Amino acid sequence: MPSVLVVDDEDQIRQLIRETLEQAGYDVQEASNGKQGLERYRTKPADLVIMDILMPDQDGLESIMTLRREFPASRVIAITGGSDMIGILNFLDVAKMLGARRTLQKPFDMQTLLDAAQSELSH
Amino acid sequence: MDVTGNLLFGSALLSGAALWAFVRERRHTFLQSRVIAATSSSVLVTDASVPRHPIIQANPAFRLLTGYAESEVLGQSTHFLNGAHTDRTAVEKIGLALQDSRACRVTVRHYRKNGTPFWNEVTLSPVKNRAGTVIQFIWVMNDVTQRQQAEEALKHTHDPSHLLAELMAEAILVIGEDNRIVYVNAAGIRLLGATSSEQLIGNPLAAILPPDRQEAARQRLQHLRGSGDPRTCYEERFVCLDSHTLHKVVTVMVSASPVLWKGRAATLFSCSDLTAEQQARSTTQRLQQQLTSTETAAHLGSWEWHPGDNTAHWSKELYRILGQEQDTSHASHDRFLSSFHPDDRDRLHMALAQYLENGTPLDLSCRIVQPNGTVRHVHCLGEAIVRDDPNQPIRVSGTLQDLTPHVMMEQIAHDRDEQFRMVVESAPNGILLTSEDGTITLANATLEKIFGYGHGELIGHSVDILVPDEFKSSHTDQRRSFFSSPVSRPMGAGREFLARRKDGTEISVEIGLAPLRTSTGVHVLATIVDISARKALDELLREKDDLNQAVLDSLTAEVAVLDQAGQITAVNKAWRQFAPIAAGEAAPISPGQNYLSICRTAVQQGDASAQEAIEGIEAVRTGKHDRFSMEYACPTTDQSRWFAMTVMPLRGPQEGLVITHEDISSRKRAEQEREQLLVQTQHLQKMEAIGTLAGGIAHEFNNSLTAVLGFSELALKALSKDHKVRRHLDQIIAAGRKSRDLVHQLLTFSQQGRHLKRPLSLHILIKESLKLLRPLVPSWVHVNERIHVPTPPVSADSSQMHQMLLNLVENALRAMQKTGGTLTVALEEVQVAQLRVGPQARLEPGAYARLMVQDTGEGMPSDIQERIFDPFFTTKDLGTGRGMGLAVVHGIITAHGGTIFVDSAPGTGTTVEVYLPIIPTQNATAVSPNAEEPLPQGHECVLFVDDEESLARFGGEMLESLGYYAVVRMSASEALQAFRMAPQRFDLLITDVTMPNMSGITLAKDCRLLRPDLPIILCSGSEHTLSAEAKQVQGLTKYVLKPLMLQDVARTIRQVLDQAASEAPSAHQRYRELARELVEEHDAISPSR
Repeated sequence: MPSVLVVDDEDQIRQLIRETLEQAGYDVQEASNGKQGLERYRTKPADLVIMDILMPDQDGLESIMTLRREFPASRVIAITGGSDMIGILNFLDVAKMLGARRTLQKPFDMQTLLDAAQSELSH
Repeated sequence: MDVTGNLLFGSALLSGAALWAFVRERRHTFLQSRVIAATSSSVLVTDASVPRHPIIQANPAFRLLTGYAESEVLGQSTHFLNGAHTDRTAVEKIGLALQDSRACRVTVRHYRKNGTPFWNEVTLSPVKNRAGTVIQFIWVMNDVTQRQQAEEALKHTHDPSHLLAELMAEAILVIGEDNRIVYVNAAGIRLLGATSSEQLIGNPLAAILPPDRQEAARQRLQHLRGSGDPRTCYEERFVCLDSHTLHKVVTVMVSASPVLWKGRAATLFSCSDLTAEQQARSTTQRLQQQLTSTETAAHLGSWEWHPGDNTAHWSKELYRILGQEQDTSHASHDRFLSSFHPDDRDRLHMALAQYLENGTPLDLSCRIVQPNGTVRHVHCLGEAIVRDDPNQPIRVSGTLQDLTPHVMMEQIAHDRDEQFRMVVESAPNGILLTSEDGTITLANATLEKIFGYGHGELIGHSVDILVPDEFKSSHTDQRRSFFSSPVSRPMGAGREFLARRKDGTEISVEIGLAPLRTSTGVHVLATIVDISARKALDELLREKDDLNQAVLDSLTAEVAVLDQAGQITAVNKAWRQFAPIAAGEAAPISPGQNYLSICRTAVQQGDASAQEAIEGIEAVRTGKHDRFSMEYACPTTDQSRWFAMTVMPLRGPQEGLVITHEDISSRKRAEQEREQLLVQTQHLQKMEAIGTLAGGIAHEFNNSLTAVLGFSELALKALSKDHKVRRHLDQIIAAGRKSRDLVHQLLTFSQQGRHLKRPLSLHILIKESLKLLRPLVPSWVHVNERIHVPTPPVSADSSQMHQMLLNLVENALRAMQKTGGTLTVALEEVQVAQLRVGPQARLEPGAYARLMVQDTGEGMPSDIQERIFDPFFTTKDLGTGRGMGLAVVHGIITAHGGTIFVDSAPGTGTTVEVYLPIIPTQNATAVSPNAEEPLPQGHECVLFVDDEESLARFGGEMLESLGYYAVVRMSASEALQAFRMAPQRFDLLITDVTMPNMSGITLAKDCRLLRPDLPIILCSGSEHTLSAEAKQVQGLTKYVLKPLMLQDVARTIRQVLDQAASEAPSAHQRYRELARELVEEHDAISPSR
């Protein structure tokens, strides 16, 4: 059973994704910020990390960077509801540059998320 | 002085002073002139009141003596008589006498007009007025050349006795024993009219005696020789030899003495000439005769009284003077005496008594009373007393002159003279009187002051001395021409002349001339004003004026000077230049017009600012305010100009006003620009704030929406297909998606610049977009397309450009939804020369592609215009729009470095102008939106289905524009019906997914039942709908997102059709691959949305 680590500071979002993925047969773990997420991953690496970007303590971009450095094989889908920019790049573009394999702009259909997760875990 | 001298002097005095005294007694200048004119002695009268003693009268005898006419010498001093050999001391002597106002006699060598010299014995007699001041000098002149010559000759004789004799002024004759003349001195030669002694010596004495005296003379000589009397005096007459005075007899007093002449007995005659004395006597007699004849004219009556028998005789004139009738009244001494005024009677008696007793001259001014009571002023003069032997007067005669008219006239004349003198002297103008030959005869103090001469110095000079050298010749001509037709020439009229002062400096004068006819001929009275100062002042004023005008002209403001009444008296250059522009067709406002009237006219024509101007001018004019200023728009110019008008008093308000109009258009423009910039900045700040806010809330919002949509999906999945709640969840999902779209737009708006910009030929894009938009245009809207081809490329994102145009056209069409009208879409290249600032936009100069979308719809009020770029602001009815239309357009345009101007007025429609910068030519690797590959076309038959009429029409037109044959239906059932009629006829089905009654999916499925190989393209507004439902349709199916993009649609159609044609059998197999591709493609697209 593929495992997914959902890192989001929003309880609702974590719950939604957990339910969606669990219904699709994934093992879901949660973390409410980047720091916690990294700790979880280090303890038990997941097959896929769904990482929110705007979070307290340690944001998603920094977390993706750290994660990808520590675990080059890690797979990350970056999600965000924000539209913040760093220069001409938005957070999702930056996230991709940092190693996120896919990005999804909130709000997204759960089906889209499932398709994306499925796609990442299929190869 | 010897006897002869005394005699000569006395005779001269008699002929001059006595004559004058006589005249003076009469106190009548008329008579004086007449008498002088009549006398045979050469007489000049000079004016003693003037230092130079100018001649005021010269009698005819003077002309005979000197050759000078009176007119030639009037006004001159007597200096002209002097010449090369005139003795200085003699001249000085005359000068001293004139200076001291005393009489004198001088013999001086004078020159005649023809240049010949003569010895002139000049006797000067002062004439005093009643105040005792010497006013004139009478010059009596006698030619004494011959005497002088004799004296000269005597001087050269060496015999001392001769010398002595020659020196004697008396004539000396020595008669020898044979009664012949043996010696004669110079005075004797002169007396006897000879030129040399030879003419006389040797001649008998009888030769120079009249025949009746010859015998008596011979006896007297004989007696003398014998008597031994030392001296005998008697009166003798000599006949002169002089040819000119032939038969002239001179009367001499002879003093005869026996002398020894060269050893022989002789008789010496010392002769004093009595001729002059006699002449004077005869002159007096003659004058008396003349006076008698002019007795009446002179109001002179004669009386005679015989004291013996107390009878009297009166002349005719005396009767008249006394007011007695000759016929009725007897002349009597008593009556004569009683005629006198009682107050004067005693005086007369006394004077008469003294006259009779001692010969004290009777000379009395008194009054008589005529019988009718009239009092007359008379002058009573005793003329002669004839006495008998016991020395008793037997006859007394005299005159009585009626002076009444003279007294009165004199008074009048005196007053008039005084008035004239005062007028002339006090005249502020120089007054000059000249005779015809240009001699100055009168010059007043002002004139002398003007020309720098002393008092009286100019009299007698030619007026030419007042004329500068270079004008002298022409002045003479002018003078002649004036005298040839003497007409008054008033001053002024620019008659300016240069005149010469005594010190040689030249001054400007103005001269007025008037002819003055007098007894001595035509004179010219010149009135002269020194205008040098005035000219200098004029010059100064002109310079000042010039300076003022120059200063005024240098001002850029329009300046006008008004008088108290509001009339324009002066304007500056700026005014002159602007006035015609401001006036347009009307006459420009210029000096002479009344500014207030002009303003009043303007008020009547509805110019509100003119009323304010009038009030302001009045306030300053009446002194209520020191200054007034206002700003107004100039309504008459083609371009709108602003002016600041200032009204200020000129010195004091009583002296007029100065009005200044200053063009403040640029300042106003700057102010407007600043205001607009402020508005724009505020707008930009607002947009920025909104952007920030949008970015901030989007995050939260999206999280919430994710939860809403996600859980709804999960709930939907958990429910059975026919569960009641499903419908509610569908609504939640729909609302959630709508919110999601809104947030997406908000982000698009706040995150401009994320789209791919490349060189784009707008004319192609707009033309194609308009084709696609055509179906949206209702039939009551006329479309006017003015696309300039080619328009240089701009750097732009084509999809955003399409979105922008769609939004603008949608808005325009909505504005004309009810009324209809014309939609104009124009594109052209423009060069913007000047910075243009709109309410929320700022356009820098440069080259732009200008897109204009114009409607003739309902327009927008200004309060709405201000808000049209606000996100969420919409005039669309709720539910029909997303409220982001123009905000998105604004965002897109701003992201493209462009500018948007919206101009709208209620009732007239709205014009939107979009300016996008044109790529500089060197970078313009122009790419048309589809330049890489032309739009794929075809000829297949396509069934197009959409429930919205506009979209259905759009679809049909789009397909036909691509060459396809389109069958358009507006519902799934109609489409299915059409398809069933001929399933093989259609090569492609394009259908909207979401349609009432029967969905596009159902239609697609039903069609596939009839034609399993039918390619289908599904259209939907949302990806979700498609991705979720596309799978339900088996076979070759593609989907496109609304709004339909021509490029995408055309490519998809072609792709689908080509695929269907080649791989019809394995369509199903291909589907999977395609589906995956599509999913991946979708994923790749989605982040950038």
